[in-house]
Amino acid sequence: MVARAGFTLVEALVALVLSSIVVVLVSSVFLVQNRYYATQVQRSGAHDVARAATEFLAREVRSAMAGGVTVAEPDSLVIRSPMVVAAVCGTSSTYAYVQFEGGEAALDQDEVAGVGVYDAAAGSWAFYNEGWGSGGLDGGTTFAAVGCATNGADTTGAMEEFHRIDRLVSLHGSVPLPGTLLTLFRETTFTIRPSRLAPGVQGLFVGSWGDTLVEYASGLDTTAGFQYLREGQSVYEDQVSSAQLDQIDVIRFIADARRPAPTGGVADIRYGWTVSIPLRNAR
Amino acid sequence: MTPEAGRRPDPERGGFVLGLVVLFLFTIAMAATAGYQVVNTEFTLAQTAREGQKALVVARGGLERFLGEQIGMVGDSVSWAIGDGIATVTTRKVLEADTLNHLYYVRSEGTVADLRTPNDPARRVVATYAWHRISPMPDTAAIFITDRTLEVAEAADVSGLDSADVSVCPGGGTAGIVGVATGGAAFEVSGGDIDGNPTDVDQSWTGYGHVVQDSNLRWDILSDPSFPVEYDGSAPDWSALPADSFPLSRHVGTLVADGGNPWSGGRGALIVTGRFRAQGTFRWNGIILAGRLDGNLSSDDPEILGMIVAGFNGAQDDETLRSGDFRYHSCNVYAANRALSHLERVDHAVFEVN
Repeated sequence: MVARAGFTLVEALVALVLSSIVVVLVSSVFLVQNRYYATQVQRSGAHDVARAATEFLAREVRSAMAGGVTVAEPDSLVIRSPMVVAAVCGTSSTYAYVQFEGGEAALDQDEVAGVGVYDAAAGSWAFYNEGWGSGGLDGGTTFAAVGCATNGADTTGAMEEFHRIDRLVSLHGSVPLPGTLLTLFRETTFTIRPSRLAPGVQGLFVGSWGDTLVEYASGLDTTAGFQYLREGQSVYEDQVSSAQLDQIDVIRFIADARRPAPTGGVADIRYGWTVSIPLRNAR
Repeated sequence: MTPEAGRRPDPERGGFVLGLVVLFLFTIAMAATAGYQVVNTEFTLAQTAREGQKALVVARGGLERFLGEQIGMVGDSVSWAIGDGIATVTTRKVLEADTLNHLYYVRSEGTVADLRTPNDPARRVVATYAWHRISPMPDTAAIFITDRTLEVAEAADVSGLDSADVSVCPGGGTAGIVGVATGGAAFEVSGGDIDGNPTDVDQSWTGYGHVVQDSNLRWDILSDPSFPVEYDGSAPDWSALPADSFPLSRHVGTLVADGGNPWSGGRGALIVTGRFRAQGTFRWNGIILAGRLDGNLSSDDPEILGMIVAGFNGAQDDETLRSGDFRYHSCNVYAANRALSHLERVDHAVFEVN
């Protein structure tokens, strides 16, 4: 009998069925993996949005000074936080000579929103909006280190940290006495509103004093926002009146992020957390 | 085709299944790799943020510890291991408002090393300003106690009149201070003597709160056994110290100072966390801070030239001093006060440098 080398019809059908099953299985695995990957990417993106917004905000809130919260609304927050704190170590009729770390070179001059003068007896700051540059607070360095050294400052290796602050007479009424603390502060506005970059979700817009708000993080949910806990209260409020801003102890940021569902998904990806940040410096 | 050839495995048929398996494995590998990248990136970002937060906590911890524990002259730099990191605190004097009040810039840098990036540790810096109160205690009275009755009897002599004159130190020869300041009462009995200026006894104090607040000292820290004091439990070797050295010493618990060891006498600021009794031939030039002050006997002969502040541990008992000289000495008090100098932070002035 001569051996046959081909397949029978049954063999071919069985092979076809088995192959089809394998292909379907492999395809299913691939699609599931792909969907899982897409979901993770979206979740990761949402996570990044929430974290970036939280870290930036937390730093500003932690540093906020007494009297440094000027707007406290559900979707908007304005904070004055110190870029540097400086001690007056000498004066002239016009200038306050101050020391601050790094000196002018370390100062992000464009962000300077003004100067604060500390009233130690009252434990509060008086804030004045004024820029740093020409005609502003920058009084140069002439005699600053020498003037401070005369009053006992150790200027060794740190001459550049001594500077003159101008405009205090017109802003504050007088040049503060030696020993008074000043701050060069930034004033940062945080606003949550519809995103321009990612339609359908909210964005966190941030802006320094005098600047246009820019979208810092996209993809927040409509539930994202700010809440406030005042001194002696146990319940967070959605907003605080201007007369009660000094009573704010804690700012809560509800950092809910949302991303569209990945291809094949049915529900949006939501991710986020709520973080309560005490105003440690202010209170 | 031969029969043998027909029974050999067909490479085409075997390759089809193998291809599917390879595709399957490739798909899984791709998905796993992509997932790993996502997770790894996320982990790294989260880890970086976490290390930064740790560094900030370390920096703030270092700042708080420095401000809380600084006693005596302000050093330039100190480092501590705090948690998973190291805090390095440095200071710079920016103003001498007067001879007794200097303003310092205090900077604390916290670093937390990540095993994966040991050369690039997370780093955060916080800073503030603090006043160095070089002579924090006011000269209130030769003996300043919280309450109850202090009897000065027999051979005991308490005087707020200045024992020092300008030949002893430039600030010597003051008009003097009150003899006994108390939230209770003080009496001379049976030959005891109390003198002072403008009055011998000032009973206007309200006790414990006044003593604690008006001494401007952090008794809770000074009396804490874990708080390091240069001479703790034993007196300095006075012969090895310069004559103008008035150090800070401490005795934890009750001290009956009778002229014997370890506290036969000395100078500076002596902290006694418990009860303090001066008797025998005990001699001290400077300030004694005590949880409570006990009386003594007429056979004793102690001498304290400076100031005693007692009652930090709460209410006094009624006590009688029957012997000894307890006299205000402005030069000794001034020198000893410097050993108690400390930093007083300016409120609301901590800020994050980076």
